[in-house]
Amino acid sequence: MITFEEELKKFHRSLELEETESTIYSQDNTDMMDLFMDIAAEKDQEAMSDQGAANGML
Amino acid sequence: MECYNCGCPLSELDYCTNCGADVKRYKKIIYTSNRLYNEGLERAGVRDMSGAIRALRECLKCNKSHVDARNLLGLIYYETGEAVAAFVEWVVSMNIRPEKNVADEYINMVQADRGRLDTINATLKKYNLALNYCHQGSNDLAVIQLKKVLSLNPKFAKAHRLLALLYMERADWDRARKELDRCLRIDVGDVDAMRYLQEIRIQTQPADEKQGRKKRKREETAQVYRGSGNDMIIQPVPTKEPLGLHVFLQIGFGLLLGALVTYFLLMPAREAAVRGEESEKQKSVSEEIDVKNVEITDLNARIKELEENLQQKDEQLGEYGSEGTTAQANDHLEAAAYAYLDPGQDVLTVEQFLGMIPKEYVDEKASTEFLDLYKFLNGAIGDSVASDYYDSGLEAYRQQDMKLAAEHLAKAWQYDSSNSDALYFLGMAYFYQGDNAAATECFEKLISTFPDSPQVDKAKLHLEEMQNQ
Repeated sequence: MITFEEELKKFHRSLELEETESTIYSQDNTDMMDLFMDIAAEKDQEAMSDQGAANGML
Repeated sequence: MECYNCGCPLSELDYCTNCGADVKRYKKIIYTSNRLYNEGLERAGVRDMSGAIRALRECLKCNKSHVDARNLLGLIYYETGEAVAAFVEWVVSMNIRPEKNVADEYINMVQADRGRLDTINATLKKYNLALNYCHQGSNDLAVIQLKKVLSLNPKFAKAHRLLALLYMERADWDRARKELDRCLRIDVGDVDAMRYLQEIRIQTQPADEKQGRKKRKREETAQVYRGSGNDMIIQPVPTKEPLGLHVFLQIGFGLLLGALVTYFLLMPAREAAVRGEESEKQKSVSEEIDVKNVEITDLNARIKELEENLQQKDEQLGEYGSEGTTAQANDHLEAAAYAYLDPGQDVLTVEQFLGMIPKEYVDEKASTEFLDLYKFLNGAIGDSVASDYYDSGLEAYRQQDMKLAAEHLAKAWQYDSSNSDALYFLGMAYFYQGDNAAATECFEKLISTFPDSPQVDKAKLHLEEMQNQ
């Protein structure tokens, strides 16, 4: 059974021409590639710190 | 595919051969994004716009720099009426790859047609307004707005769906179904639209099904009777009743009833309608006649007025004409008087000016002063003119120019009626011209007026000669 009010909630307002710029700037552009790069960078950092600690022990 | 760390082309190995970076997961992400792009492309190919949008969004979540996916997503948005969303995707795409990007053409295409862009923006604003109306409970206003939106942009799938929902709220199932059909023609994969259609089917089916079920039950009860125990009586299917007298009576009664209904109910109504039409026609014709009569009266009045005007103008023209004649006569008389007074001009000039004054004017319209001057001038130049004309007339006669001779001699006789010779030679000039009537008149006048003139005998001879002819 469809409820009008519930269905209405699924409709969102359309973007208007004046909102183009703000929409572009406010977009969350983080993708899996970014996450992967962050993870890779963190890993590298950890590896470097481990290496530094090992060198200090020596 | 290039290494994310050093940019070196990657091989089939799970690490970069240049920098040694682990690219196993990186490759997986790229492959996944490509697969999602392909899926989006396939879905867009069969107009499953919703499915394509989902796939392409997933693709961009994996790899936001997938330019093709972003361009395709923009195109799909544009196709479903979301032009600004499309614009956003293309602008971002251009940011990622400024050169050799098809998004550039799309943006230029949209921007080139400014009118179209304004229309699209107007439709989006109206759609948002309609959505606000819906939230406020003003569904009728929302319907009006959405109809306007769809008249401007019939490809706006979301507007079709919202309008369908509003129709469903009113239980206007047919219109809702039509809108959903239109929506599904734009986007065959619109799950919400399909769900709404399903709901419409549910709402419209039960009544038919119930009716169908009842009918079947009735048929069953009509045909099968269950007795006690295992006895079951099957009623044969009812066949047509045999034709009898009562059937014909019923038909006859029906026909009679029909005829009576036609006669008492339909015919009067028909007659009244025909009469009404005729009276309307008569009314319109009489109105037309009245209008024409008024026009004719107006035109007659106008004709009368114009005739009066014409008469007035004629009168004025006559006055002007007579005034013109008077002025001309005065001018000629003045010119004659001036020529008479001027010693440099001869009497013939005076006579010429006097001759230009119309004889009718002198006889009928001339004033006393005018006549006095006219007579004076005539008298003053009379002798001299007569002599001059006689001389010139005789000269012309000798030169055998009978026309000129007759003209001058007539003038000489006009100014000096005592010159019998002028009259004789005038008659001779007419005689030689063959104008016997004029010649006879001259000779007879000579004989009667100057019986002692030496020219009388000659005149008589010529008269006899003419009579013999």
